[in-house]
Amino acid sequence: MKKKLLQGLFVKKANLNQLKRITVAFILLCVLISCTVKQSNPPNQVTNTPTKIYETQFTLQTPSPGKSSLYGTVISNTNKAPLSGVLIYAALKVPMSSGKDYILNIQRDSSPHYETNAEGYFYLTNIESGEYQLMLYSPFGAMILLSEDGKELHLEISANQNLDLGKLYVNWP
Amino acid sequence: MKKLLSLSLVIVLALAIGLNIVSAQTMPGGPYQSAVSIQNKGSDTANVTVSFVNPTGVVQTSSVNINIAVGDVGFIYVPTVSGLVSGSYSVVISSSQPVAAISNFSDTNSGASYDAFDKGSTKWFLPSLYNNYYSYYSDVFVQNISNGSTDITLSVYELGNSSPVWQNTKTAVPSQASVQWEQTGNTSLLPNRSYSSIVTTTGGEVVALANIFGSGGTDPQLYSYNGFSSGSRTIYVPGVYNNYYGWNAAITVQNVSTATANITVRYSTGQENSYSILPNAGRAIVIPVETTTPTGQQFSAVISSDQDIVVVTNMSNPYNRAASYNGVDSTSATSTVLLPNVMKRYYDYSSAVTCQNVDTMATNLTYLFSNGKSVVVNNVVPGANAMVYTPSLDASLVPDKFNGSVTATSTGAKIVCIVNSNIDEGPKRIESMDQFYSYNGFNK
Repeated sequence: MKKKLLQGLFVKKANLNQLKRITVAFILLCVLISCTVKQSNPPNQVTNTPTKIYETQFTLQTPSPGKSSLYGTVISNTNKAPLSGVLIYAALKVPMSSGKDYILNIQRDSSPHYETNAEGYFYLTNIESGEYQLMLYSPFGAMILLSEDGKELHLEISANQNLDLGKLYVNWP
Repeated sequence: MKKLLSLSLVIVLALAIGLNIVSAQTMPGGPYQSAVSIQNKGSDTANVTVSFVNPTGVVQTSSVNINIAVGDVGFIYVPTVSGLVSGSYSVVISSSQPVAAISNFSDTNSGASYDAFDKGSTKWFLPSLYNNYYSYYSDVFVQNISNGSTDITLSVYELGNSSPVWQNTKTAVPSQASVQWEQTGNTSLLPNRSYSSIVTTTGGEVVALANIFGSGGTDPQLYSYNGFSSGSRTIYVPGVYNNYYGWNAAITVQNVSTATANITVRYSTGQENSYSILPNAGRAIVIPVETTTPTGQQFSAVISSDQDIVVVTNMSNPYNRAASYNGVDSTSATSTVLLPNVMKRYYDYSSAVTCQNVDTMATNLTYLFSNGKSVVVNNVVPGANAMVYTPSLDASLVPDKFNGSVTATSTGAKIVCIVNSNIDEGPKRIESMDQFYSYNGFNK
């Protein structure tokens, strides 16, 4: 009985060592994976593979070589509901002569833009590399899209990205 | 050589975009926010720089090159310009290509728009100024766009008097600086009278505009119009209203010559009225009250005079929607007009495009929308107008949520056009608020 118990203890000891090795290996693997993800996906640029929900909403286009795409959902800060039928633009940050400030410029026809669908989804494609903010454009005013914590979203877009921005918020209507 | 060429192509537009904010002392509501729309009218990409100038003439900040594609409209919402503190500014736009610009300014329940200026002058005429004209008031704004300082004088005239009833000079106004005159509380301007004015300088070129605003029951109403640097003997007014779906209009004619002007206003509905106006003075004609034009209609007018005159038209409806546009002289008329911003149920805004035949022969008008679809109106006789209201167009031509431009062309005749845009949908349609905008088209 004692032997059995000892054997059992031994087995358990052996399993613990194995478990430790597996755990350490797993942690190392996780660290390695997380480093890889960080390198290829800076904050707010989560994945290179559109999630299923977007595949049901859009026919995702492959951006022209060297250009990028952005997609996400626009939520109204007023009632926390998705905003449908509003026009979302990628507004280019044009530097001011001071060097530190900038002006947000959109061109009505040729800047990347998309009208949100019933679920508030938008998909902007063929975006040139550069610094952008996203804007909700209306005839006589515009609103900058914000992250969930209310901060302005500043995007540095490089070539050949297809970025899920998740939920974005706007003080509208 | 290349540098010289590019310099020779530079066009400077001055926009007193934020000056309305200064007037918040008297203008109800606020704070006001401005948006600037710049259309590239050229044949190549426009390299545009935008400078924001404070009222003392100091350039607060300038952009580096903004590129605008041929025909496209660059949009700048001033509150999003980083580093630009809240306040009152004018804007100078420089471009490598010909551009046209419009400024809209608004608060939560009032808004107005006006065209940018592409040239200055030492003399400007502002036909409509008020100090409690049936609860309407006005402010005058002038920017010195010359390289040196200049004195700027505002002279105000009343009907029946060619001498000014009030005059004031702002001395040594620095280059690029702006000045303002408020008519509210000016005891020289009596209630329920309409005044006209002249802005003059001691040599420096300036640009001038006026804002009109209501009070009490007309509190949300806000109008803005550009001054005139010269007059003409024939002025065209594309859109006039006599209780047309509740819309009414008033035309104000100012005599900008040195002799009494004998004018005749001919409406496209067949009526005509004649008036005599002393030099410098202005005459307001409230269409539903002072004419026999048919009620329930929209129409156009041709104003003929034996002296040079200028004309501004004010429009409003019972829900306090209000806007102004300038009458147009035939010398600036052509057979093609660019209308940069036309909407159909876009955020509940819709537009009416109205073009007037200012030639001597009948013509067909084509309204080409930026989606490639067009609407044709045949046989528009001289002096008459043709209005295209976007919600009445079939969705196969212009779909809902359209936000684009229109190019109006005639089959040879000279035309002038205006665009009126209003919230015509949803519950806001009958709310007491002024989100009604009007602008003159750009003849090409």
